[in-house]
Amino acid sequence: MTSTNDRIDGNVPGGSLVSVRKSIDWGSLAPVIFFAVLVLLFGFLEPSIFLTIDNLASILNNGAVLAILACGLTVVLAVGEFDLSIAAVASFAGALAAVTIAQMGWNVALVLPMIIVVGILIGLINGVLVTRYEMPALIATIGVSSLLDGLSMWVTGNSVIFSGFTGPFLALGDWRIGSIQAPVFYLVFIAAILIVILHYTVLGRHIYATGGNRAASRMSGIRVERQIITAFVIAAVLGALAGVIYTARQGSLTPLFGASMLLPTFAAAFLGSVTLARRQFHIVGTVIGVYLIETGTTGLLILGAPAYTQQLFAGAVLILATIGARYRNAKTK
Amino acid sequence: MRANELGERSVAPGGVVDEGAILAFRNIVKTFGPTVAVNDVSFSLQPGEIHALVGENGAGKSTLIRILAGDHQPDSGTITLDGAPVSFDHPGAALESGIGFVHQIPMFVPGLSITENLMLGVPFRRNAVGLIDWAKAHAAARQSLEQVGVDVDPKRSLNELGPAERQLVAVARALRRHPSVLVLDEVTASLTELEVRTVHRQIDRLRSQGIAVLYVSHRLEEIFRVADRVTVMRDGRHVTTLPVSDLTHQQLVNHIVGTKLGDLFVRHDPAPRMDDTVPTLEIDGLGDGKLIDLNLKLFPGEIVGIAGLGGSGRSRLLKMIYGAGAPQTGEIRLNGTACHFRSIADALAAGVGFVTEDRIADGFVDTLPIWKNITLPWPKRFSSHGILKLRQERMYASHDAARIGVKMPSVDAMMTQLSGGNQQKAIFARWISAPIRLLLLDEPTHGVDIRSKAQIYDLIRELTSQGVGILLVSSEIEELVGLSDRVFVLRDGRFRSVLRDEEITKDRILHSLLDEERQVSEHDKH
Repeated sequence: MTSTNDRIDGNVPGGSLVSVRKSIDWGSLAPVIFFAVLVLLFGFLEPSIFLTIDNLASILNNGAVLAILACGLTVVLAVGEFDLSIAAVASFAGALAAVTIAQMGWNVALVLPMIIVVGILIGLINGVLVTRYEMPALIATIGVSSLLDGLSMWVTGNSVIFSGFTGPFLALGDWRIGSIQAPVFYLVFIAAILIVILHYTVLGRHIYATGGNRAASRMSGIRVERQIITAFVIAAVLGALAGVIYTARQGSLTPLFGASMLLPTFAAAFLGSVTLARRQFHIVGTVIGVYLIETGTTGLLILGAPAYTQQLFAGAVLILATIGARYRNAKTK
Repeated sequence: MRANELGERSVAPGGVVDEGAILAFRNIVKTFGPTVAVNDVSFSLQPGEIHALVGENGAGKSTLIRILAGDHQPDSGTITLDGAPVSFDHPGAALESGIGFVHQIPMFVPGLSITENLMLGVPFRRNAVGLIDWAKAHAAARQSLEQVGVDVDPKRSLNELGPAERQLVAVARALRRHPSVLVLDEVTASLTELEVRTVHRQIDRLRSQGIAVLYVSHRLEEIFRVADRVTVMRDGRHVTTLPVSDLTHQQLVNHIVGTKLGDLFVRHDPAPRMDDTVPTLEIDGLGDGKLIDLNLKLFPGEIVGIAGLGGSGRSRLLKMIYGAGAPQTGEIRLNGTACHFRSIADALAAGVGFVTEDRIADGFVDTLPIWKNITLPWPKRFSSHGILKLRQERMYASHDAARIGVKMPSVDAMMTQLSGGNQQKAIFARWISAPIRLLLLDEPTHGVDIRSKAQIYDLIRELTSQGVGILLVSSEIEELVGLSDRVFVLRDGRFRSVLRDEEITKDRILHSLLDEERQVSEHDKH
């Protein structure tokens, strides 16, 4: 073919000018640098409290459930949708676990699969509302969220459940290796699986393609509705697992405990989308985002800031990360 | 004094500026970092002249237009309007000085009325109380529409207008400011042949009003039809400015490309066909209410063109074969096997490929790098035990991109970093070594520069030599004439005629597009 004789600007098969693109992108490192600055700052101001193994481990332990939730959200964001119900799923799953185990005495081995099935069903409902009924995800999931919160209050009688949890259930959240508690290990396991799915499987490719351009994906034979529904199911299942893990770790259940986690998960995922990547939602970024928020709030609490600082900090991060992403977009265009 | 200066310049390599010009570019230079986008370009427009500006993508046309519009500032050189130097330091300045712009996709608010769209940017007439005087506004709008020969009620919604009429409304809107120069930037790129003619008739009329038109287009045929003179740019430089009557099509192509491309359309010999050759594609009595009783056979290595106006159902037909729409009647057979595709994935699995008409809308995913766009329909081919072999996938994609000659910084770059022509080549790279038997092409060279066009034609021929059958839809009749072994003319959902060999001429196709009489006779179909 004649065209192969054309100048192809260093585009040799396999090798290429990757180095040009791999030059350090400071914008995408900004959140990481900010993270490091936070650690150094708190370490400098309160070295005797902040820079202790116990404190660093507790940041790790406390952020884990939030991170599992945020990982689920990341999958939905990657497919180009939105899930405001994910925190309510966690609340509902926790409530179901508490009621069936602590009050009705069911076996954990029965409850756990049941809750996963509930998660799958909720994800299917979200997905079908968004695809088949073409509802905006914002509306569909906020509706489902409200339904689930209502159900949570109903099954728990809207009161705290703090006794009656069986040993096997508590053991789910209770074990530890050194100072690192169970939720962190669940997080590592879940994040690893999600990274493989999103970056090394056809499903993951299809999810990102659908999120990038639905029409083009459809014309390339991708069943976009299926990817969207799958993403909602993954998110809801992870939401349910996060709820169970949280409840097992706490050993008690406060109805609607998930509500306060919703905003930080979004803040973490959006911050993560501009971390080490160009405006792409990805698991590693999300986990970094969660721990940046967790570190910031813990540090501020140690410095004596009041408890509502978490809301302030997460809100500020969400807004700044979104502005940052916009600014970077404008620059690369 | 100015005349003397100009007289000396007439031998300058960067081009010349004539006396009495309404708009003149003088030695314009514009650099972006190390890239010289516009390099010492001079030429001028006379009042009442239609002046075409052509060049490949990246030749510097767009930069020059953007300098004129005030989006960019030139590094050196001046623009003069009616003899006086002007400098447009912000986007509105050019408009205020009497230069109008109409772009490929005009900015409209589709839900509003034609009047409201005409008024965008130009203040509404208000009555004594400070409210909009709708009676006067509609009257003014009607007058504007008359100017461009559009006969519709301006109170109607813009949605009701066809693409050609929309472009004309955009022209009318630009004319409301009484410009002395009107820049038409690829205004016909999305139009079909007949729509183009409608627009051209109106552009012709501008000449008599003394308005100078700078006409940018990739479609060279049009330039010969509508323009008085043509300026060619290549690699940022001015190549030549000539009356179109002094040029042949081939000469113009050579000026644009620089090296001789040879004839864009080298006839290829269709693969010899035995009587018992099984058709790659056979559609039999296909219909869905809008398409009626379509019959067609396409043999391996053959290119069948489909001529039709916008709205004739040509894209619909392609999508139906691609599994994106279900037929109500009839049957589609691939290699003799009846197919009932329930999704595009089914069609892909059966070896059908598709290149879409609008690559920006549904051609590629702009958040994925080039290589993942090349393998977009096929990631499964690179997975074993469910895990993608990314290194192998990327190698494969870069190999195919290189084979097709996609000019890109690297396969890891984003599609949006490529020119239109290279985006289109990257999309073709999907199919070049894929296991397909049939490739459906919907406007395969839409908005693509001439060199990429030639490469895409080469590619289409290479595919046919591998035995792939091609079904080609194009609004560019030259393309149908140049490539097709047979041409089916689709009008109002039916095949009205089929042309083969010597019958495939521009005139015959245009005729059948309009002519009610000729019908496909039953034995003539294959």
